[in-house]
Amino acid sequence: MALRDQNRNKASADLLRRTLASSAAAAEPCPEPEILAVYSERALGADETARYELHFSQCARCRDQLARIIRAAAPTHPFSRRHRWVWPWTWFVLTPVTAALLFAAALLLRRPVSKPASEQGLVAMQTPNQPPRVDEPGPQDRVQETEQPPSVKPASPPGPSRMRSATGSIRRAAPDYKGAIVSPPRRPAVAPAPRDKELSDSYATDLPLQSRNYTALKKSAKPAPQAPAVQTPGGGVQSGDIEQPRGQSQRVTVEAQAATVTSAEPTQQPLADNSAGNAGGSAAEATPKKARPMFMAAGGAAVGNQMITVEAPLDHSARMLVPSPDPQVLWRISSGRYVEMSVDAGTTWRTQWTSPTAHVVAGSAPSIDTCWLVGRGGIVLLTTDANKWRTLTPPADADFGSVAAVDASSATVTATDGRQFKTSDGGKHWSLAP
Amino acid sequence: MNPRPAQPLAAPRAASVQAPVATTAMTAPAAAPASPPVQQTADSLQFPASLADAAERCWRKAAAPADWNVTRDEFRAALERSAAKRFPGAQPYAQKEAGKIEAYLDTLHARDLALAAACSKGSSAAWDCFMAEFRPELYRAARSIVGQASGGDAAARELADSLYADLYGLRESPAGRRKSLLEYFHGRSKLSTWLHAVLSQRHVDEIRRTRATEPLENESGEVITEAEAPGAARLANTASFESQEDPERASYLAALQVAMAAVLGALDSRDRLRLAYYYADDRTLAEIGRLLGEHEATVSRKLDRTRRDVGSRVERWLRDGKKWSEAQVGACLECARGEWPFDLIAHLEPADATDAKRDATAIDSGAGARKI
Repeated sequence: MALRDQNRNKASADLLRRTLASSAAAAEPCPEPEILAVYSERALGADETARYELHFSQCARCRDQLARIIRAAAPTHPFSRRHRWVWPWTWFVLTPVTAALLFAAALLLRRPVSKPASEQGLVAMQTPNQPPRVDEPGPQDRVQETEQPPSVKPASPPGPSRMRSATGSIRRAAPDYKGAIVSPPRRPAVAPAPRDKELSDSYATDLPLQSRNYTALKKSAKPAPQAPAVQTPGGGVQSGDIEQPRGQSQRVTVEAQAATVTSAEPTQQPLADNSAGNAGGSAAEATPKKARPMFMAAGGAAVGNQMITVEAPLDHSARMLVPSPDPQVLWRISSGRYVEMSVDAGTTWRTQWTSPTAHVVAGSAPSIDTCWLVGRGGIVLLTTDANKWRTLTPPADADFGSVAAVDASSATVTATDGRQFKTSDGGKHWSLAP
Repeated sequence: MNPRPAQPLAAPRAASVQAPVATTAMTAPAAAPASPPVQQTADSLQFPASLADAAERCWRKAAAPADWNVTRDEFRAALERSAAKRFPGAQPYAQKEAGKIEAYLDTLHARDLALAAACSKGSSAAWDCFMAEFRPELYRAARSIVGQASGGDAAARELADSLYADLYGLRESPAGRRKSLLEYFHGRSKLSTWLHAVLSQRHVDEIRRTRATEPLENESGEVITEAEAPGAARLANTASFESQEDPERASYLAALQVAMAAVLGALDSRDRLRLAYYYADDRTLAEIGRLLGEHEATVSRKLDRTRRDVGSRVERWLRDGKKWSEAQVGACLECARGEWPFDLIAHLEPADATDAKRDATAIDSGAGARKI
């Protein structure tokens, strides 16, 4: 009898599996995302719940979406019932322990910290008579300490604000171009986003927005310079028309060479030179508050060289043109985060891509359909149909200062530290150029 | 926030067309456009005077900062659109509907709705606030949604970035007005949950689209057409083979299929959904518990109960409806454990098929008597 019941149960399970797997699609159309959101919050009324649960039971697409919504919201889910009795007791025990740890951490952080080697490179970002900026963590945090010049010695210990990120943690010493950014943001600090422990290291560096609050920086910064305005097709920079931001003066120094130079020797100027100057070395131009070249992009054949001096934080109204071989077709980067296109030589523009925290600094358009864009934070963008933009996996976690593209597959991007990366398959694979 | 002059929320206003926001040369895309007149559309539900208090409560609850540049009228218009969506065809001056609408308004996430209204309008301050508050969450959610299988960080970042353009409003409606995805948010859920839902929908649709358009390939790399697919011929011929070689088995399975469809159709929607999660999607008890807001043990217990219930109902249907013996019912269930053809109902005689479907309606009533 028991065996018969067991067999019957197994048969029922098999029947259910087959029937439900092959059942017909739901008769009703799928609800909008808002209904799924309200349902996942258990905020639908009883009648709506029954109605939509019937649909979900027949619609694999909706079930898949619901599962992903729940997964996305997992860290904020309330404790299950069986843990509810633990929660109050946990508070009584953990609260004083946490408070004691925070107090100890605050005491440790208040101690002066010696200036790390990475600060040597920060003089490049300093404008005359301006204090250095507050450090902000970014992808360059991941640069290993071994990359720093070993002979660098800090001139003077920086203030605590320079070493402390917006989240309050001590940054690892690493070459950082943002370290000289002046003045803390005026907005009240936003609480850092809850971090999922399962996040990988690469994602863990994608820190909350308050550590990249360019808007706050803009409000507190002095008049900003402008990134190089024009790039020739295939790479290189021309000093030409520079769109002046409204009501602001700016100073940009741009040096360019012909894009067809074939025997240019790569010139490397590592930050160690500036670092030595900062440490009180004999370099004549080594003063902490003098404007310095931020980076130099070295290039070989068919790659334009550029040296850009940036003196102030990003100006949100700054624009940069990326022309194509056809003078009618242009791309424009506004504020580093809006990508616009014109097909009538700049008479009208259409925004194609935007990201609020992107900082695109250079582009190359080898054809009217293809445009490569690069920028800070390892951003590499590509369009091959003059419409849809793809974010490519960058060759390295670095700031890119220039790109020279041959076609939709082949391009060379140059990081601000001088490294060059080439691709011949549209960015799927990169190789470090010698 | 600057004190605002008191305005009656239900004051009539002239319908107007919002000025199109065109991106032309020499205009800063980050600049907020001038505040347009409130747009009244066919999807709005004009609030009567009796709902003025409820709308005012929502406005106070929203506490929209001044720099968001969203007016009382614009927020009211957002409330009206939300109510129209929830109560389609409602008569705005019917008192019973006003009561429901008032209760509905009190459940809305007013601040999120105000933020969405301000962002879709183009307020840069609101957009900055939106990014500060939701950008980390969006990336984290995209990472959770995409998982490790589909390219990891890059795919998650692309998924999240692709949403920004639509949230900001890069697309234009046929009338030339910038259309932001945030206009589809009506405040019924939290904005963060709604963003999760939009991300999930995009990702799932992309997966399905990729799966649907990906052709099959044989060992030599040639694309296989649908007719040549390995299972196609088998599925097409199995039913006819079964009916020829073992017509009894075919009729067993056909009846069983009808019985299952009828029994499942009579189940409570939640029980059916639980079964679908477990048997169709192969989810674990823990996952189902999170999806339904139940404990694992509760899910297990209810699944077991529902499965037994389905089994007993099917057997009763076969015994009482088809007048089969115990042995026949057992043989029928045994047949189902073998290979199951795609659809055998089509192979029933028309009269048998009609009888089977008519009898299915009597299952839940417990009558079970077969109409001869």
